Amino acid sequence: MNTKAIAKSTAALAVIVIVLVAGLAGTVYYYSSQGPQGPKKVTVPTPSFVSSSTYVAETANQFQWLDPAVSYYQYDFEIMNNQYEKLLWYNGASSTEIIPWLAESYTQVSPTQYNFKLRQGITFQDGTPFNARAVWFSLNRLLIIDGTSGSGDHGTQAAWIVQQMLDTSLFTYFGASPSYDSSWVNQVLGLNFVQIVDPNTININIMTPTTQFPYLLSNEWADIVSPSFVVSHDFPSACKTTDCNADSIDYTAYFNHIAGHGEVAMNYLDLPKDGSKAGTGPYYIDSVNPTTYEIVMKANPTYWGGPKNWSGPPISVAIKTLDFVYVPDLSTRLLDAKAGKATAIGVSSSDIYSVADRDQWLTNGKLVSVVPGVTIYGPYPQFTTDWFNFLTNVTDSSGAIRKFQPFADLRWRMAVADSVNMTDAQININNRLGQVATNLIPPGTAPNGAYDPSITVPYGLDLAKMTAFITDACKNPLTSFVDNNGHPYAAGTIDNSCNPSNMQTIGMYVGAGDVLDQRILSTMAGNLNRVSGKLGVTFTIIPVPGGQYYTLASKHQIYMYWGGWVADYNHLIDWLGPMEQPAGAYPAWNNMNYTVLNQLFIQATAADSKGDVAGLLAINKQMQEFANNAVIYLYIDYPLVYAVRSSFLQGFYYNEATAVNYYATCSYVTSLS
Amino acid sequence: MVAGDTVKIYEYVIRRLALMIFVLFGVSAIVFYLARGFPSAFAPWAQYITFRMKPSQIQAIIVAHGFDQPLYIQYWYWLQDVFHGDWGFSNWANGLPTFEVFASRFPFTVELTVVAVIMTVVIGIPLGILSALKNNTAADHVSRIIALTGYSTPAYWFAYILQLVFFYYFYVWGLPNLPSSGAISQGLASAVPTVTGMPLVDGILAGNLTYTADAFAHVILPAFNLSFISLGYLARIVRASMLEVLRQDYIIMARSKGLSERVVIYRHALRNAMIPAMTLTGLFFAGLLGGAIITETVFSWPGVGYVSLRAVFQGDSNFLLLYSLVTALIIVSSNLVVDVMYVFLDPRIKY
Repeated sequence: MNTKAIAKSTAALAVIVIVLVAGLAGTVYYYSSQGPQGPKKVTVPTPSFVSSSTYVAETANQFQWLDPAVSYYQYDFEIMNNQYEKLLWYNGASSTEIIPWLAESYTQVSPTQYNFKLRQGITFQDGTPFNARAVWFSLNRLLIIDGTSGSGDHGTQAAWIVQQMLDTSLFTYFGASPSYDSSWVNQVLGLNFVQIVDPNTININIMTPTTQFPYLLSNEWADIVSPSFVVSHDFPSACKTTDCNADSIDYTAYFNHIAGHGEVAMNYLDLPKDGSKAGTGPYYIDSVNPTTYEIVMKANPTYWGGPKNWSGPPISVAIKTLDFVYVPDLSTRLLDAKAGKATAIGVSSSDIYSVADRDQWLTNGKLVSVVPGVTIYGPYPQFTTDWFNFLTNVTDSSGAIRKFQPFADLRWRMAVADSVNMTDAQININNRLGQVATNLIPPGTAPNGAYDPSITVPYGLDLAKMTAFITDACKNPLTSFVDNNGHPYAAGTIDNSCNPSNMQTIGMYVGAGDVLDQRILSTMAGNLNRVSGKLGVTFTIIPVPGGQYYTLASKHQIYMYWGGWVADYNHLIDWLGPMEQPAGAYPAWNNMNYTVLNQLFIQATAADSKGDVAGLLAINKQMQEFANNAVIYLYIDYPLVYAVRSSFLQGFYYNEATAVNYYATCSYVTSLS
Repeated sequence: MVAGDTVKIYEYVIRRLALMIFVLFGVSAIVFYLARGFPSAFAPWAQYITFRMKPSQIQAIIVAHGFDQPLYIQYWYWLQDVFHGDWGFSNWANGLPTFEVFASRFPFTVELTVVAVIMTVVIGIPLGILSALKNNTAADHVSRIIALTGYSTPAYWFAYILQLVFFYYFYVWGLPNLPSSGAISQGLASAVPTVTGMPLVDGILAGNLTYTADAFAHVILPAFNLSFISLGYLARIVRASMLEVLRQDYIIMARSKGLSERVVIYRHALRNAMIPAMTLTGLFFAGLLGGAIITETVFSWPGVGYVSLRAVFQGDSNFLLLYSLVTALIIVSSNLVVDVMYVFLDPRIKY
């Protein structure tokens, strides 16, 4: 054999060897990562974060603003919930029981006044005292910053929650155009929302009585902040002493300065690059990096320890450092969890089987980790209802009403609703990560009884009925239509007849990355088109990025879209208003115009203001039954969420009502037995 | 080179710099039209307004920045904004000034790119030389396989393999492992002052060995992921170029004179073989500097690549314009440097 031949043979052999080795490596990796028999009995070395007492949380989330008077993003709440505290908070695992937290006790003196006794001996992380002045400052700061976008965009919307109990004519969310000058500031302060009785006692005075009161004060917008820290960083010239003593601050000057500052990066707390010690909570912010999105929090050495009657895990603040790291790639996060680099990683619902045993979950309903050294907690409810929304009075891009208005016809809505088996979809498409929704209100919503499992929907997979509805709607099309003000359209404006020569397309809009719901829609479209396609109507799935369908829906330019409502706070009224009252956010888009619902909602708010919980629940039942029979929404599910954590972690606590983790109860074991 | 040649080089450089200005204007005009000339879900003036502004204030902003004018006049207004340093705000990036958003991330991309290019050159050129010198031997075949693997391998897959082996399996085997992501370890983030924004350089400037070593450990995997693709190309080009040069008469003459093989290769052949390699290296540098989205995402590298994707989805036209201009500037500059280097490599080249 000559040299050339030897070389060629060598090269060929090298290629074969490389391919074989790569294939073997891939096979080994695949099977080791799948763990088909569940978690293997392996010895997991103690991760370095245990010895360094650091909680490393890796997610694909980026913080927005870390000012409780401004932010409205869940990830921001996660951070703030560990730095700040409120007068009230949820008791342990309960989503309806609220207990005094920074307050020692509170009583309702009258329908519009509550008296709070504050705990004594608590200091902010900057060493200044927590007292009545701090509460007065914090809640008025929330009102005066007025973190509410005039366009209603999410992000700077914290204030309206509390403002709804006051004179709403002063605030942008309710349609006002505040001047944000000193006269407006004086008007807001004149509401006397927080009245200082003595250094450890306040009254809270509201104008609109509501059973929602404790819930409205139990979320991040009601966080109590240190006046000294905030003013010295936001507007030092309002400080009259070098240490910016809270008793000597020129609060009028400060409030005049920050009036209307509910925008990005206007206040120091929005982006505290050099850290923040403005709260009373178990952790303070040590550093924030806007380039890498990393946030480091350190244990508060003077933390008071939390209320003794709290039924959650014991509060110990055992972990000294919290490190929130932005890791956008799931595979990287998984490797970090396996290698003991991350205490907690974010894993989306669609990737559940990267960490959980599929058979255990689908068969036994148990989330069993396939990753050694990792535990999965949950599932937990999210106080969210996913749905498809049907729109009427749909226009084209120029604003002209379209001739074809299928969803003004109940038969078309029923046909769509009967085209899918939601139970099957939850199991086979949504990986069983949702409870099939039968009405708008999810389980666990306050007050107790708001979720009523006896309320059912009049639809379910029934292709025969679906066919009958479509056929009848095409054969005997609806001829009477009203506009979004309830006035009838002139004859001939709308034409719901079906004609194969003049195909009508109904777009089913959904998020581009929402693979799960696209699959549900695909099933629906397949069933519907088998009948409607022959008659002249086609259903088409249209994925769009970044929630753009909300923009189109708000302009009434699409027929149908996927949506979900997450409660701003855990109370029934927050569902009924935005979702079923005709002037609410989503009904304003679908223009179904049900005066019955409007009347019922008025009755609901009246019952609420009288503290008549039984009456409120009875009206809720009527509203849900009406909405179900009218098929205003096609409910999908109440989605569930889970948490992936290191098995070395103890004391994991997740507050379901506010969807935040609380790290003060966490600690580590040094080995896994 | 003679003195006259040096003067001509200076003249050439000045001519090219003058041309560069026209190139930048051209690039900015094209990108401006692409960014603002098509319907978008985002109002172009959104980068200059805040939520709190009243309609009258918003209208004033629109007029002040020319958004109510035809596109070609808007371009003129935009040029004025740029010369005043006003790039607006990036609402998707905590509402920070767009220039600050870009400037805080660009040094990370520069560091990643420079290290990747160095790896490409240090590995690719010797690989190509070896391949040429040991033409049609086992060494040649192996190096060709490596090169072929390099430019055939998908970047995202190779990134995962690097993490799997050098981070995870090294950990499992009890070996010192490289970090899976990030640019610096958490505990060291503020250990040195930020001078250039590049952790590796800042660590060297501060004389902090621990910080520098940590920064280097973090950049190795993402840089190698980027370089693996380009070193394959470079090795192939160097090989082909060397083979051609080695066949030249002057190489035969040099060998005939009795010069050592080392002198023949490194003093006579390599210089001429390097010209196409330099061109390619310049192109790699410019291309990588454009931001490696996949690599930066997998390794959580805080460069401009990943955020540029967010800027596109959020309709941040100013960020995209800034990014395009800086990239164009670097590409043109690197081409100029390469062209000037030609003169030193090959005296026959004159401008």
